[in-house]
Amino acid sequence: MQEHMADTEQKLEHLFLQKNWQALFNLLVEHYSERLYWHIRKLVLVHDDADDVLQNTFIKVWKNLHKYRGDAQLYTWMYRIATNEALAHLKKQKRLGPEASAPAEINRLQADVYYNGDEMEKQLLAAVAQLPEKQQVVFKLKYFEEMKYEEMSRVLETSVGALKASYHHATNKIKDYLKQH
Amino acid sequence: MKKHKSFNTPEAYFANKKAALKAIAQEHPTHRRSNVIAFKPYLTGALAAAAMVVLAFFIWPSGEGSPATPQAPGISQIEDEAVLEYLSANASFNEFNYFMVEEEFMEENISLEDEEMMDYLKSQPLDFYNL
Repeated sequence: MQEHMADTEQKLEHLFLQKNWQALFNLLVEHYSERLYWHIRKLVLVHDDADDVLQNTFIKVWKNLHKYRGDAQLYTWMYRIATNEALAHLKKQKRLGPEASAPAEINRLQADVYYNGDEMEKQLLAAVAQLPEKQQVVFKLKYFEEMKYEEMSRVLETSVGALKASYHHATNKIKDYLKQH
Repeated sequence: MKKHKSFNTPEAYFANKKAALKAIAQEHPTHRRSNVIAFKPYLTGALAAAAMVVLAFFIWPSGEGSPATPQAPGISQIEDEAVLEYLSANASFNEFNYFMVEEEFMEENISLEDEEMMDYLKSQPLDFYNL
């Protein structure tokens, strides 16, 4: 697996240096679209939303590929774009008003035919949904993806200390929410 | 998902999605590439013209007939009065007093009689003149 990843990274670097954008983009889609989909899905929950956000993510990747400066791994760079797109989606949903509140978001998830979680899980997701967007992202990446703080720091461009504080606040709020419901 | 087994996707979703995502490259041509192709034939000419304009600007002789650019006046063009005005505005400039004393001296046309001059010279010791 490690060898395969290293091989892919080498191919990507080679195509990038050649400025063969089309081939580079196709390789990125081939290797990373599935992983990015699950990353996005954990943040936005509903399949249709994840599908839209994934599409927007790859449009941005394609449009900015030649501007990529190599200061982070290509995958980390794409992860960052995907996270920002998911965050923008969550904010947009919140702006839509009370219909996009936390319970409404869970109702949408329950209506999603590609979701079959139990009551406990729905309760947890409802608790997470009432958090501010950034705390949601930190909690979901830590809890569902088991992402290390250092990696999360690179993706979210936030200090490890701030991420730990966000996670701590998020867990406390979730506990309070679950006690009340 | 590591802790989420309850999220699914439609059948063959990823295979179809990958094809759709690869099509983005055709649907959204990058600006960078199109701009270079559109302007490449004119790029060298435009750069050469810009260089000529810049060179002409620096080479053109100064004085009448030169491009209308604000220039600082030459030292010879500054009026004496303007200098005095400037100096009077800067009261801390000690040499101003020198100018005024000289001017007053000239205006009042002070003259000494020969006798007075001789008296004065006699009153001075000889070593005063370092003779």
